[in-house]
Amino acid sequence: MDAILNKDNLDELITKLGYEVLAPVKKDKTVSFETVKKASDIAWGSANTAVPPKRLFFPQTEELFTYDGDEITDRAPKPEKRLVLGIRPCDARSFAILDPLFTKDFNDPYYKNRRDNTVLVGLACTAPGRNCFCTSLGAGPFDTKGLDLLLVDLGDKFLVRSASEKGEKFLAENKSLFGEAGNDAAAADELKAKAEGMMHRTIDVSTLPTKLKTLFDDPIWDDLAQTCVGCYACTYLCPTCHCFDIQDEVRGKKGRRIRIWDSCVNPEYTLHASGYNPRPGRTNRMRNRILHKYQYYPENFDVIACVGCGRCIDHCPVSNDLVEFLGKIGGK
Amino acid sequence: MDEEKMRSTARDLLSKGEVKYVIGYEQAGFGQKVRPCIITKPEETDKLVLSPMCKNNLAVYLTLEPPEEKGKIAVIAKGCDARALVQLIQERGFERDNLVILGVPCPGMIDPDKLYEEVLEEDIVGISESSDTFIISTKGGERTFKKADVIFDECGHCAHPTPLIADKMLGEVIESGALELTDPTKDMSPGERWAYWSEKFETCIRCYACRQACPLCFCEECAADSLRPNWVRRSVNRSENAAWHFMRAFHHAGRCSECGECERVCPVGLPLMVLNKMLAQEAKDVFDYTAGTDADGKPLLTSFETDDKEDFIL
Repeated sequence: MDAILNKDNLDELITKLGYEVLAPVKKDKTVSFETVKKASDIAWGSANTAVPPKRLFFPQTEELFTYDGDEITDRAPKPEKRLVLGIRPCDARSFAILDPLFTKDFNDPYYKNRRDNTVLVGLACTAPGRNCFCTSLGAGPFDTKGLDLLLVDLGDKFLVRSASEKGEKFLAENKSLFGEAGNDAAAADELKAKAEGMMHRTIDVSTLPTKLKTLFDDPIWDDLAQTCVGCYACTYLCPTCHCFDIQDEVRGKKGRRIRIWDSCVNPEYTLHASGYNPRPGRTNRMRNRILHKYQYYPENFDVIACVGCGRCIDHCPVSNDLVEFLGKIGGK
Repeated sequence: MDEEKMRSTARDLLSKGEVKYVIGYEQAGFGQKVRPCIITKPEETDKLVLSPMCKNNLAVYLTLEPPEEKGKIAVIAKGCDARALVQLIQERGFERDNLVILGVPCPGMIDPDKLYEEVLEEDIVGISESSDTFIISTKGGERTFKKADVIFDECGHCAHPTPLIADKMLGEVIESGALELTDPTKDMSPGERWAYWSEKFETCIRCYACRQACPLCFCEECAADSLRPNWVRRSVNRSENAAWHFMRAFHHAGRCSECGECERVCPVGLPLMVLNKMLAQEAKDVFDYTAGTDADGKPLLTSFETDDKEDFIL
């Protein structure tokens, strides 16, 4: 069901509904998702945030529990109603990809708690970045997968497209904020076609998961790794990279157990206590990164763990280009 | 920048077997973007690129992994890269005898973030230069930009655009037009300064791109990776991030070649060169020392002189 949200009603949506609202905010040159108190705080229409909003559900540093001697205090987040406003369809899709991982064998209470209590309101992307390739992953700048609602910017108003039961419910519960959509859907479709036409990077991923199975020992991985300097930018900035490390931070009898983002590009990631490292070189590590996204994840969860947001290309210190590399794999 | 001369020199070195490989730049993706590359065959030298987009400091590849076999390596070095090489040589990070330095006088490198505000990356088909402008050829025609407007900030402050060390110099000397550095924290009180940096460090995600891209971060084990003792905790927050950046800055005092790679690669845009420049200035003021300028000299911290100032000791 489509509806209309007048931009004048945004402040009411932010302040009156009892949600903590998180939206893109610009500080210096960087845009990130922060809590907003009024509509004018929001940096609409900015490109993708450098750090993806996965941190809103899977924070870089998560306190699991604290302890004082034998006494343990659980630190799982309390359910708080949150609304994420203006998330890009590619980033929202990452949650559809990550949900089964965090809930399949074990319900991760930290992640799931936040997911269950958050309404994801996306903003259709009308200006894809120079390295975006979401359409190649079966998605697109107006895709609604992972979203509860999708907003399409129509100037002084948004077309609101419901994308889930949660979204339907939100619209029904807050009827007074929304108007009826007339012919606006047509205008939105026009913008959609235009945005899709602006994507100039594409890659055929259909054969990759099976092809990669045959390429484990191929010398092509050396090409990729040769100039990689081994920082963690591609993994930390990836909306679907989800590996973590667990550490205790102790002071005397008191301490806390934390979970922090980890990166398979870090040699320590596979370093054994004995000193042996099964992935000793950058080649081994970069291969794992690609295989995990394009072979292992599809094997386990039936979906490629990439949303085509282009961050790993935009931010790679040595301009390694995933699209170009996958093209080489496809041509093998 | 003389691309043809660079290619023919590289081709010559490889075909005569004088070097194992050449570390240079090649075209990446689309537009005029480049990336580092390693060339082992003379016929591959045609893909080498030399342009004002070649910002990467290639000296980093000399120490990423321990050298496997004997033999010389040729590396393309701009002014700042050459300073990093001098520092590496001084610190025995890499043997001078195993290095063929192809020096490239540098007009300043284009900051893509500045250029792409004016021109779409995918539209750029060529870049050429005159004395004080870059001429960007696009699909829609030519655009001319003053060099000073589109180069990286640190390139504007560069005191040594022409390499101070080179086995072969591939171009005419370029004089420095270095601007005075404007330290945004200069007139701040200690409290204001702390607030400024606290806010910056809070956004750091500790991806260590600054460390990995730095040619002079070549410790076998980085103190930030050590768990016992745990100098820097793994939690990512203002305090631990500040500990990391302070540690790194101090470790680079009197060593930093001021190439600006740490700042360029930072995905959250931390002004790391402000810290580095501040410490470089300290080394200059207190010991009259400039890092990476004398391959036969000693590193600052190993060159004690009896008349060194001691007024900084509390």
